[in-house]
Amino acid sequence: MPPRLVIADDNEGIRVLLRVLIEVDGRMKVVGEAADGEQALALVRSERPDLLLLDLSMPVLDGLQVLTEIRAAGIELKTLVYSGFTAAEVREAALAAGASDVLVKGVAPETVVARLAELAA
Amino acid sequence: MIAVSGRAPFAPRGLAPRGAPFVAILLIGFVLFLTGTPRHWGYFAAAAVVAALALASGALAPWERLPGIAAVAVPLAIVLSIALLREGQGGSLSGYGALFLLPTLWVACYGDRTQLLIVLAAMLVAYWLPIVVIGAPYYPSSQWRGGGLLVLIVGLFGLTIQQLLFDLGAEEGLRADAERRLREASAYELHDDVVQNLTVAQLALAVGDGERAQSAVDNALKVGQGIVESLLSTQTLEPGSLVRRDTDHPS
Repeated sequence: MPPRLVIADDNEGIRVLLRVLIEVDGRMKVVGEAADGEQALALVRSERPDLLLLDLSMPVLDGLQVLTEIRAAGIELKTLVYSGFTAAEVREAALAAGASDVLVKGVAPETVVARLAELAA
Repeated sequence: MIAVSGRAPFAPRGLAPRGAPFVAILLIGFVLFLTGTPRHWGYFAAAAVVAALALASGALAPWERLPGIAAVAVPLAIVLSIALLREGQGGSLSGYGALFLLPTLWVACYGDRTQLLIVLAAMLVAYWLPIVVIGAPYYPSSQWRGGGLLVLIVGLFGLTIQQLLFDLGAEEGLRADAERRLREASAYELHDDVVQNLTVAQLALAVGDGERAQSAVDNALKVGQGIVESLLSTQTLEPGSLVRRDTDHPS
Protein backbone atom coordinates (compact mmCIF):
# COMPACT_ATOMS: atom_id res chain seq x y z
CA MET A 1 0.00 0.00 0.00
CA PRO A 2 1.58 3.31 -1.09
CA PRO A 3 2.22 6.06 1.46
CA ARG A 4 -0.75 8.41 1.87
CA LEU A 5 -0.25 12.12 1.28
CA VAL A 6 -2.14 15.35 1.97
CA ILE A 7 -1.33 18.46 -0.07
CA ALA A 8 -1.90 21.81 1.66
CA ASP A 9 -1.50 24.93 -0.46
CA ASP A 10 -3.85 27.88 -0.92
CA ASN A 11 -3.13 27.95 -4.66
CA GLU A 12 -5.48 25.59 -6.42
CA GLY A 13 -3.24 25.34 -9.50
CA ILE A 14 -0.31 24.17 -7.41
CA ARG A 15 -2.44 21.58 -5.60
CA VAL A 16 -3.96 20.19 -8.79
CA LEU A 17 -0.67 20.02 -10.69
CA LEU A 18 1.20 18.44 -7.77
CA ARG A 19 -1.52 15.84 -7.46
CA VAL A 20 -1.16 15.02 -11.18
CA LEU A 21 2.62 14.75 -10.87
CA ILE A 22 2.44 12.55 -7.80
CA GLU A 23 -0.23 10.30 -9.26
CA VAL A 24 1.74 9.93 -12.48
CA ASP A 25 4.82 9.06 -10.42
CA GLY A 26 2.78 6.38 -8.67
CA ARG A 27 4.85 5.95 -5.52
CA MET A 28 2.35 7.81 -3.26
CA LYS A 29 -1.39 8.26 -3.01
CA VAL A 30 -2.92 11.71 -2.52
CA VAL A 31 -5.74 11.35 0.01
CA GLY A 32 -6.67 15.01 0.41
CA GLU A 33 -6.12 18.62 -0.58
CA ALA A 34 -6.37 21.58 1.76
CA ALA A 35 -6.68 25.22 0.73
CA ASP A 36 -5.86 26.63 4.17
CA GLY A 37 -4.19 25.68 7.42
CA GLU A 38 -7.40 24.76 9.19
CA GLN A 39 -8.44 22.36 6.41
CA ALA A 40 -4.94 20.88 6.47
CA LEU A 41 -5.22 20.15 10.19
CA ALA A 42 -8.69 18.65 9.76
CA LEU A 43 -7.44 16.37 6.97
CA VAL A 44 -4.41 15.30 9.01
CA ARG A 45 -6.69 14.40 11.91
CA SER A 46 -9.27 12.58 9.78
CA GLU A 47 -7.09 10.89 7.18
CA ARG A 48 -4.00 10.21 9.32
CA PRO A 49 -1.68 10.47 6.24
CA ASP A 50 1.95 9.39 6.26
CA LEU A 51 3.03 12.61 4.55
CA LEU A 52 2.00 16.24 4.45
CA LEU A 53 3.18 18.63 1.74
CA LEU A 54 2.70 21.99 3.39
CA ASP A 55 2.77 25.57 2.13
CA LEU A 56 3.67 28.17 4.76
CA SER A 57 1.63 31.14 3.64
CA MET A 58 -2.03 30.16 3.82
CA PRO A 59 -5.31 31.62 5.07
CA VAL A 60 -6.75 30.93 8.54
CA LEU A 61 -3.67 29.15 9.88
CA ASP A 62 -0.22 29.39 8.36
CA GLY A 63 2.10 26.46 7.88
CA LEU A 64 4.05 27.11 11.06
CA GLN A 65 0.83 27.07 13.08
CA VAL A 66 -0.18 23.80 11.43
CA LEU A 67 3.19 22.27 12.32
CA THR A 68 2.86 23.46 15.91
CA GLU A 69 -0.68 22.03 16.20
CA ILE A 70 0.41 18.70 14.74
CA ARG A 71 3.25 18.45 17.22
CA ALA A 72 1.00 19.47 20.12
CA ALA A 73 -1.51 16.78 19.11
CA GLY A 74 1.25 14.17 19.04
CA ILE A 75 0.45 13.17 15.46
CA GLU A 76 3.27 11.26 13.77
CA LEU A 77 3.81 12.13 10.12
CA LYS A 78 6.53 13.44 7.85
CA THR A 79 6.02 16.99 6.67
CA LEU A 80 7.70 18.54 3.66
CA VAL A 81 7.38 22.30 3.70
CA TYR A 82 7.09 23.72 0.18
CA SER A 83 7.29 27.47 0.36
CA GLY A 84 8.21 30.54 -1.66
CA PHE A 85 10.30 31.94 1.16
CA THR A 86 14.02 31.60 0.65
CA ALA A 87 15.22 33.19 3.91
CA ALA A 88 17.26 30.92 6.15
CA GLU A 89 15.22 32.09 9.15
CA VAL A 90 12.05 30.70 7.56
CA ARG A 91 13.70 27.34 6.95
CA GLU A 92 15.02 27.23 10.52
CA ALA A 93 11.60 28.16 11.93
CA ALA A 94 9.91 25.42 9.91
CA LEU A 95 12.42 22.77 10.95
CA ALA A 96 12.19 23.91 14.58
CA ALA A 97 8.38 23.63 14.40
CA GLY A 98 8.67 20.01 13.30
CA ALA A 99 9.04 19.98 9.51
CA SER A 100 11.02 17.05 8.15
CA ASP A 101 12.49 19.16 5.36
CA VAL A 102 11.96 22.41 3.50
CA LEU A 103 11.95 22.95 -0.26
CA VAL A 104 11.72 26.36 -1.84
CA LYS A 105 9.18 26.82 -4.62
CA GLY A 106 11.19 26.99 -7.79
CA VAL A 107 13.02 23.69 -7.37
CA ALA A 108 12.38 21.19 -10.12
CA PRO A 109 8.98 19.48 -9.66
CA GLU A 110 10.73 16.09 -9.91
CA THR A 111 12.77 17.05 -6.84
CA VAL A 112 9.60 17.66 -4.84
CA VAL A 113 8.17 14.28 -5.78
CA ALA A 114 11.49 12.54 -5.16
CA ARG A 115 11.93 14.16 -1.73
CA LEU A 116 8.41 13.16 -0.72
CA ALA A 117 9.14 9.61 -1.77
CA GLU A 118 12.37 9.61 0.22
CA LEU A 119 10.59 10.85 3.34
CA ALA A 120 7.94 8.19 2.91
CA ALA A 121 10.50 5.41 2.57
CA MET B 1 15.77 73.62 14.56
CA ILE B 2 14.96 71.11 17.26
CA ALA B 3 16.03 67.52 16.87
CA VAL B 4 14.08 64.80 18.57
CA SER B 5 17.14 62.81 19.47
CA GLY B 6 18.95 63.87 22.60
CA ARG B 7 21.62 61.23 22.43
CA ALA B 8 24.21 62.93 20.27
CA PRO B 9 23.94 66.71 20.73
CA PHE B 10 27.24 67.34 18.93
CA ALA B 11 26.86 64.83 16.11
CA PRO B 12 28.37 66.48 13.01
CA ARG B 13 25.26 65.95 10.92
CA GLY B 14 23.07 69.03 11.36
CA LEU B 15 25.26 70.53 14.06
CA ALA B 16 25.56 73.87 12.27
CA PRO B 17 21.82 74.56 11.98
CA ARG B 18 21.31 73.16 15.48
CA GLY B 19 23.97 75.28 17.11
CA ALA B 20 23.80 78.48 15.03
CA PRO B 21 20.88 80.15 16.90
CA PHE B 22 22.52 79.45 20.25
CA VAL B 23 25.92 80.73 19.13
CA ALA B 24 24.35 83.81 17.54
CA ILE B 25 22.57 84.81 20.75
CA LEU B 26 25.74 84.20 22.77
CA LEU B 27 27.65 86.43 20.35
CA ILE B 28 25.01 89.14 20.71
CA GLY B 29 25.58 88.91 24.46
CA PHE B 30 29.30 89.49 23.99
CA VAL B 31 28.71 92.39 21.59
CA LEU B 32 26.30 94.03 24.03
CA PHE B 33 29.14 94.11 26.57
CA LEU B 34 30.32 97.22 24.71
CA THR B 35 27.09 99.04 25.51
CA GLY B 36 27.19 98.73 29.29
CA THR B 37 29.32 99.70 32.27
CA PRO B 38 31.42 98.85 34.14
CA ARG B 39 33.62 96.97 31.69
CA HIS B 40 36.15 94.66 33.31
CA TRP B 41 37.95 93.49 30.20
CA GLY B 42 39.81 90.73 32.02
CA TYR B 43 36.53 88.95 32.78
CA PHE B 44 35.33 89.64 29.25
CA ALA B 45 38.47 88.09 27.79
CA ALA B 46 38.22 85.10 30.12
CA ALA B 47 34.56 84.65 29.18
CA ALA B 48 35.40 84.86 25.47
CA VAL B 49 38.21 82.29 25.78
CA VAL B 50 36.05 79.85 27.72
CA ALA B 51 33.17 80.27 25.23
CA ALA B 52 35.50 79.82 22.26
CA LEU B 53 37.04 76.69 23.76
CA ALA B 54 33.59 75.30 24.55
CA LEU B 55 32.28 75.93 21.04
CA ALA B 56 35.43 74.55 19.43
CA SER B 57 35.28 71.40 21.51
CA GLY B 58 31.58 71.08 20.70
CA ALA B 59 32.41 71.08 17.00
CA LEU B 60 35.69 69.18 17.02
CA ALA B 61 35.89 66.78 19.98
CA PRO B 62 35.52 63.05 19.19
CA TRP B 63 32.17 62.79 20.94
CA GLU B 64 31.39 59.37 19.48
CA ARG B 65 34.32 57.93 21.44
CA LEU B 66 33.44 59.72 24.70
CA PRO B 67 30.78 58.70 27.20
CA GLY B 68 27.44 60.41 26.58
CA ILE B 69 27.57 62.39 29.79
CA ALA B 70 30.76 64.13 28.55
CA ALA B 71 28.59 66.23 26.24
CA VAL B 72 27.43 68.21 29.27
CA ALA B 73 30.92 69.76 29.50
CA VAL B 74 30.12 72.21 26.69
CA PRO B 75 26.96 73.75 28.21
CA LEU B 76 28.69 73.77 31.61
CA ALA B 77 31.56 75.77 30.10
CA ILE B 78 29.05 78.15 28.57
CA VAL B 79 27.49 78.64 32.01
CA LEU B 80 30.97 79.53 33.30
CA SER B 81 31.52 81.89 30.38
CA ILE B 82 28.25 83.69 31.02
CA ALA B 83 29.05 83.93 34.74
CA LEU B 84 32.40 85.59 33.86
CA LEU B 85 30.72 87.93 31.37
CA ARG B 86 28.16 88.82 34.01
CA GLU B 87 30.88 89.47 36.57
CA GLY B 88 32.69 91.67 34.04
CA GLN B 89 29.74 94.00 33.80
CA GLY B 90 28.49 94.48 37.29
CA GLY B 91 27.08 91.11 38.29
CA SER B 92 23.34 90.88 38.75
CA LEU B 93 22.89 94.42 37.44
CA SER B 94 24.38 93.46 34.03
CA GLY B 95 21.23 91.81 32.75
CA TYR B 96 23.24 88.83 31.58
CA GLY B 97 21.34 86.39 33.79
CA ALA B 98 18.98 85.75 30.88
CA LEU B 99 21.85 84.23 28.91
CA PHE B 100 21.88 81.28 31.34
CA LEU B 101 18.76 80.13 29.48
CA LEU B 102 20.92 79.30 26.45
CA PRO B 103 22.84 76.28 27.79
CA THR B 104 19.71 75.12 29.60
CA LEU B 105 17.62 75.28 26.44
CA TRP B 106 20.40 73.42 24.57
CA VAL B 107 20.38 70.46 26.93
CA ALA B 108 16.58 70.57 27.08
CA CYS B 109 16.48 70.15 23.30
CA TYR B 110 19.50 67.95 22.65
CA GLY B 111 20.60 66.46 25.95
CA ASP B 112 19.12 63.98 28.37
CA ARG B 113 17.51 64.49 31.75
CA THR B 114 20.74 63.99 33.71
CA GLN B 115 22.52 66.60 31.63
CA LEU B 116 19.64 69.01 32.15
CA LEU B 117 19.76 68.57 35.92
CA ILE B 118 23.53 69.09 35.93
CA VAL B 119 23.25 72.31 33.94
CA LEU B 120 20.41 73.54 36.15
CA ALA B 121 22.57 72.87 39.20
CA ALA B 122 25.44 74.78 37.58
CA MET B 123 23.09 77.66 36.82
CA LEU B 124 22.01 77.73 40.45
CA VAL B 125 25.64 77.79 41.55
CA ALA B 126 26.34 80.61 39.08
CA TYR B 127 23.53 82.61 40.66
CA TRP B 128 24.18 81.85 44.32
CA LEU B 129 27.95 81.46 44.67
CA PRO B 130 28.69 85.15 43.90
CA ILE B 131 26.19 86.17 46.61
CA VAL B 132 28.31 84.26 49.12
CA VAL B 133 31.74 85.12 47.73
CA ILE B 134 31.21 88.70 46.53
CA GLY B 135 27.85 89.82 47.88
CA ALA B 136 26.10 93.20 47.58
CA PRO B 137 25.93 95.55 45.80
CA TYR B 138 26.78 93.49 42.67
CA TYR B 139 25.10 90.38 44.00
CA PRO B 140 22.38 91.39 46.47
CA SER B 141 20.74 88.82 48.70
CA SER B 142 17.53 89.12 46.66
CA GLN B 143 19.34 86.96 44.10
CA TRP B 144 18.84 83.96 46.39
CA ARG B 145 15.14 84.18 45.66
CA GLY B 146 15.45 85.45 42.08
CA GLY B 147 18.04 82.89 41.02
CA GLY B 148 16.25 80.04 42.75
CA LEU B 149 12.90 80.85 41.17
CA LEU B 150 14.47 81.31 37.73
CA VAL B 151 16.17 77.91 37.94
CA LEU B 152 12.91 76.29 39.00
CA ILE B 153 11.00 77.88 36.12
CA VAL B 154 13.71 77.09 33.57
CA GLY B 155 13.87 73.55 34.94
CA LEU B 156 10.12 73.19 34.41
CA PHE B 157 10.45 74.44 30.84
CA GLY B 158 13.42 72.17 30.21
CA LEU B 159 11.73 69.05 31.53
CA THR B 160 8.58 69.86 29.59
CA ILE B 161 10.54 70.33 26.38
CA GLN B 162 12.35 67.03 26.92
CA GLN B 163 9.07 65.22 27.58
CA LEU B 164 7.46 66.71 24.47
CA LEU B 165 10.44 65.74 22.34
CA PHE B 166 10.40 62.25 23.81
CA ASP B 167 6.69 61.89 23.02
CA LEU B 168 7.29 63.20 19.51
CA GLY B 169 10.10 60.70 19.03
CA ALA B 170 7.91 57.87 20.30
CA GLU B 171 5.10 58.87 17.91
CA GLU B 172 7.56 59.09 15.04
CA GLY B 173 8.82 55.62 15.93
CA LEU B 174 5.30 54.20 15.94
CA ARG B 175 4.52 55.84 12.59
CA ALA B 176 7.73 54.51 11.06
CA ASP B 177 6.98 51.05 12.43
CA ALA B 178 3.43 51.13 10.98
CA GLU B 179 4.82 52.23 7.61
CA ARG B 180 7.40 49.44 7.67
CA ARG B 181 4.73 46.84 8.48
CA LEU B 182 2.52 48.11 5.67
CA ARG B 183 5.43 47.99 3.24
CA GLU B 184 6.35 44.47 4.38
CA ALA B 185 2.75 43.31 4.05
CA SER B 186 2.54 44.70 0.51
CA ALA B 187 5.88 43.18 -0.46
CA TYR B 188 4.80 39.88 1.09
CA GLU B 189 1.58 39.76 -0.93
CA LEU B 190 3.37 40.65 -4.17
CA HIS B 191 6.16 38.14 -3.50
CA ASP B 192 3.61 35.46 -2.84
CA ASP B 193 1.74 36.24 -6.07
CA VAL B 194 4.88 36.05 -8.19
CA VAL B 195 6.18 32.85 -6.61
CA GLN B 196 2.80 31.10 -6.74
CA ASN B 197 2.33 31.91 -10.42
CA LEU B 198 5.83 30.84 -11.39
CA THR B 199 5.45 27.63 -9.40
CA VAL B 200 2.20 26.89 -11.22
CA ALA B 201 3.99 27.54 -14.52
CA GLN B 202 6.81 25.21 -13.55
CA LEU B 203 4.45 22.43 -12.47
CA ALA B 204 2.28 22.92 -15.56
CA LEU B 205 5.31 22.51 -17.80
CA ALA B 206 6.24 19.37 -15.89
CA VAL B 207 2.83 17.84 -16.64
CA GLY B 208 2.82 19.14 -20.22
CA ASP B 209 0.09 21.76 -19.72
CA GLY B 210 1.59 24.55 -21.83
CA GLU B 211 -1.55 26.68 -21.83
CA ARG B 212 -1.74 26.82 -18.06
CA ALA B 213 2.01 27.50 -17.86
CA GLN B 214 1.68 30.43 -20.26
CA SER B 215 -1.24 31.85 -18.30
CA ALA B 216 0.68 31.61 -15.03
CA VAL B 217 3.73 33.26 -16.52
CA ASP B 218 1.52 36.07 -17.82
CA ASN B 219 0.08 36.55 -14.34
CA ALA B 220 3.56 36.57 -12.77
CA LEU B 221 4.67 39.10 -15.34
CA LYS B 222 1.77 41.42 -14.47
CA VAL B 223 2.58 41.20 -10.76
CA GLY B 224 6.28 41.69 -11.45
CA GLN B 225 5.57 44.75 -13.55
CA GLY B 226 3.45 46.13 -10.72
CA ILE B 227 6.32 45.68 -8.29
CA VAL B 228 8.85 47.31 -10.58
CA GLU B 229 6.57 50.22 -11.42
CA SER B 230 5.90 50.87 -7.75
CA LEU B 231 9.65 50.89 -7.16
CA LEU B 232 10.21 53.24 -10.08
CA SER B 233 7.39 55.56 -8.97
CA THR B 234 6.22 55.96 -12.55
CA GLN B 235 3.43 58.24 -11.34
CA THR B 236 6.07 60.98 -11.33
CA LEU B 237 7.82 59.82 -14.49
CA GLU B 238 9.81 62.52 -16.24
CA PRO B 239 11.65 62.50 -19.59
CA GLY B 240 15.00 60.79 -19.04
CA SER B 241 13.87 58.77 -15.99
CA LEU B 242 14.01 55.54 -17.98
CA VAL B 243 17.48 55.99 -19.48
CA ARG B 244 19.44 52.83 -18.68
CA ARG B 245 22.66 53.32 -16.78
CA ASP B 246 23.75 49.73 -17.27
CA THR B 247 24.09 48.33 -20.80
CA ASP B 248 25.06 44.83 -19.71
CA HIS B 249 21.44 43.68 -19.53
CA PRO B 250 19.28 43.82 -22.64
CA SER B 251 15.80 45.36 -22.21
